[in-house]
Amino acid sequence: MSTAPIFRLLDVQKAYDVDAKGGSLFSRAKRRLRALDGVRLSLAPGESLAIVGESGSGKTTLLRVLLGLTHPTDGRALFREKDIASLDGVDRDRFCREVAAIYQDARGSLNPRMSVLDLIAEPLDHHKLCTNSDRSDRVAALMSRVGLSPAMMSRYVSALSGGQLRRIAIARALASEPSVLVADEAVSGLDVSTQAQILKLLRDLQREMGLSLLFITHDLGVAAYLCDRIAVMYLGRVVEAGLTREVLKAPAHPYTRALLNASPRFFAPISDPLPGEVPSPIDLPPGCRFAGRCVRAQDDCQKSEPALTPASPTRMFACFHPLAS
Amino acid sequence: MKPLDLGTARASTTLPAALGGRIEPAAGTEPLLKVEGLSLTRGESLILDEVAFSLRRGATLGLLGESGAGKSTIALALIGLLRKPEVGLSGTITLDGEGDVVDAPEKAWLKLRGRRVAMIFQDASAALNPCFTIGRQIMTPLRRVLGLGRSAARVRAIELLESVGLNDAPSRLSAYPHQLSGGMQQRVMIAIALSSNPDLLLADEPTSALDVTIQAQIIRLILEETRRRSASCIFVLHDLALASQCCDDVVVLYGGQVVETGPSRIVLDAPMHPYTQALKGCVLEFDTEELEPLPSGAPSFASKSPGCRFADRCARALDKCAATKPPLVATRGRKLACWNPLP
Repeated sequence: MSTAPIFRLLDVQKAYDVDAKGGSLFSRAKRRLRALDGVRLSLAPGESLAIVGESGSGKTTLLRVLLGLTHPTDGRALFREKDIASLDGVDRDRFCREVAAIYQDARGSLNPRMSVLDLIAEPLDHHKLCTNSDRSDRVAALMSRVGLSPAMMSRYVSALSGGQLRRIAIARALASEPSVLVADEAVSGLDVSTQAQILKLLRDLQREMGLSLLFITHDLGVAAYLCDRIAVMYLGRVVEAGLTREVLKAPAHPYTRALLNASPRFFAPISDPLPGEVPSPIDLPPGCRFAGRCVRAQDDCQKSEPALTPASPTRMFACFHPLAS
Repeated sequence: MKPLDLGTARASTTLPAALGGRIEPAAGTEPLLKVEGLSLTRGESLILDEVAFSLRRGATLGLLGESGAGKSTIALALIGLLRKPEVGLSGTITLDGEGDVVDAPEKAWLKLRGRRVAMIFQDASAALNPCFTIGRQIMTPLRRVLGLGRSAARVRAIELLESVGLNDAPSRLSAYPHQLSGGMQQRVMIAIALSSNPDLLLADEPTSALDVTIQAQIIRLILEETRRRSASCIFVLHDLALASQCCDDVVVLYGGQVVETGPSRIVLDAPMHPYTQALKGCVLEFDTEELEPLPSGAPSFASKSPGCRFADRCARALDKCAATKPPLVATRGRKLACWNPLP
């Protein structure tokens, strides 16, 4: 297996034009909403990367760019060194087979009119990976792989629980024998016990099959359990990235520290929460985006925006006044 | 009707908690709420099985368990939305000063609901009416429950919105729910629930739809506001780590049965029931290396099954567990229902 990165994002920007607030109904005035602003990431084969941030940080837009569902307005998103936006022919087929997605809302992402068998077999049929005779055997093998009884094959989505649906979504993603799994909040909204089962399954699958995993989550505990590397996003920018263990042990960016403090921990006092909410990404003021909520902000934070700079071979952060380790 | 005491209460807003300490309740010893033998049957199913707990004035209690444990059902019974004639509810719910309310007619509940007992729902965006402005939704209970006039209600609504940390409150009154973020909507819900100074606040998973930083803000807000009013609060939660941070006492439920209950510092620190231990083992902290998830499965609610409902998922189950239901007995600072507890 080559070690060339599977995904590489080079200063990806995704901006939307939105109607200016307060203008007349017929006004043509537009304002720029930068959902992603200069994101630089890479994912190597067999690696697991967590993208962490609150709502509005651009995590889902990032996923859409990676899957080729939206194209960046600036910068380049590369899959095996080729632009995702311009993949065609054989490359496009290969991309579809190699990159599998697990969506946030498992119930919404599965067609209620298809049986479990057809849902899991759809990628097999599409990529012509099996013959008609071994179709149900393949599906049964996939179902046992994710811990479902093959007896469920003829059921429909409406008859299944949330945890079972997540397992079906995972089986469906594995059907095309992908090399990368991209998951968007794949365990949110589940009971802690079901969440633990799904997380264990995902980690086992990732390790046994040598998959690369890109996992979008807002839960630092999930990121720490599942992923070797982490990238913390705030308002469309990566503010800190590195090895999960290092970042969570000694965060350099005040936002990472705040996220850590806000996560529930047994018998820890509820810390002083971050003031305010994530500001609107429309017409951001100059300077660091986090400055308005940051306890360490100084004058220079308001003037110019800190760039994501490497502090060590495995660590990058974007802050003028980082926390000492 | 209780007098408005917000004015005097507001003067003492400097809580030790605001300095970052744990919010210690000034809990009295008199129970505000006592639930005994609360059972709910639906046909052949026993949804709640002899649930019992009590809540001191000024204290916080957490109802913990997986979905289907009966947490929200208990909350609905406590606010009088599940009552005896309509469903098979039995047992007693004693609210201080009102006596047993489990039998109370709707007419009596209309005087209790919102005034003495109020609820914050899980999904604020669904609980707020999208057709009415925030101002109308917060002023309606003020006018109907407290009998305030239009302008007095407006002044009070602004005060309430400010007290829950909504900036620019006067202009927010004319906003519709969809114009606010999830955290803001939850703040509005809290303001509505607190508007008539209830003694008992029920918070059904108040933060499960919110980001972690907003979750910390909302939990602190609920604790500060209830404490300032010497009110009690029942949290319905599934996150044990969060429960350890915000609840004085916890009740762990499985399949409608109380399996372990007591002070959170005792129960959650060293669980004795295998189910509490298993739930604790599912909580991810940053240094969690291995998870040991419970096997899949859901409790049977069949009223005829005689044993412990957790027996078929329990690694420590004995023969007798499936045959006889363990009684809830006091053990090492807590109450526990298990034949084979952890040492």
